Amino acid sequence: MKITIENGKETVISLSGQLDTLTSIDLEKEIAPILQGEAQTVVLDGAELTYISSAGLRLLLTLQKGMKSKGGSFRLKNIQKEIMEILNITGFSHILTIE
Amino acid sequence: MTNTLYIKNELEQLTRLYAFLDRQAGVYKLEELLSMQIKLALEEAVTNVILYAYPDKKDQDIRIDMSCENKRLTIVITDTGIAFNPLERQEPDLTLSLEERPIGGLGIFLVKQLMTEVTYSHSDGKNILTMTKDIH
Repeated sequence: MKITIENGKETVISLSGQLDTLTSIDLEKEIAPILQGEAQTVVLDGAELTYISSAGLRLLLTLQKGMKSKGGSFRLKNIQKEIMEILNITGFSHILTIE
Repeated sequence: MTNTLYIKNELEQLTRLYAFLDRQAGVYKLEELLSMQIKLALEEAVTNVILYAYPDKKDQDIRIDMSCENKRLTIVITDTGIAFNPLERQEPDLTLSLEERPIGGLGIFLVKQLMTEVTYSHSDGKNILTMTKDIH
């Protein structure tokens, strides 16, 4: 999986490929500094994300909870329908902001 | 015909599981969505075994058998770790709000949702999780 991060007040995380148990470990390392940094909004761009496992879902929840607790916001955009189905099955589509 | 993969109880071994599944998806000509759902169920079930079946023990075997008959794919995951029926685990409450929602606990729920049937048995000191998926 490829992780691209554009830092700023609005930080954009673009994921390309598969967010599985192993690649989630890589993403988790990137998330910690973002949650501690200056970002007020974090956007996850899933245009090229083709797979997500529960480890990846856990990170979405970490981002959502982390941004909310610092008074910011987190949203997802360009989520593909296969991923959307997983978000629906797990009820994540109700607790995440999805454009 | 049954194809078998043995992996050790380390997360890094998941890459071998992914490769095995990619090969099988080609053999059974699985369409992309179906292949993704099976990968997800298998990854969650096997990750569970890797993380919890053999506490403090390394170099332990996990066996994965995959076969297909009458358009029904059967995957059997076998380990000799501590006896544990993952299907008895309490299901996550999907109606909880963001604040109440625990981080984690979704893996086995996904397995049950994505597969047609999932059963567990314990015999001869082995945990045997059998998952089937209709693939027509």
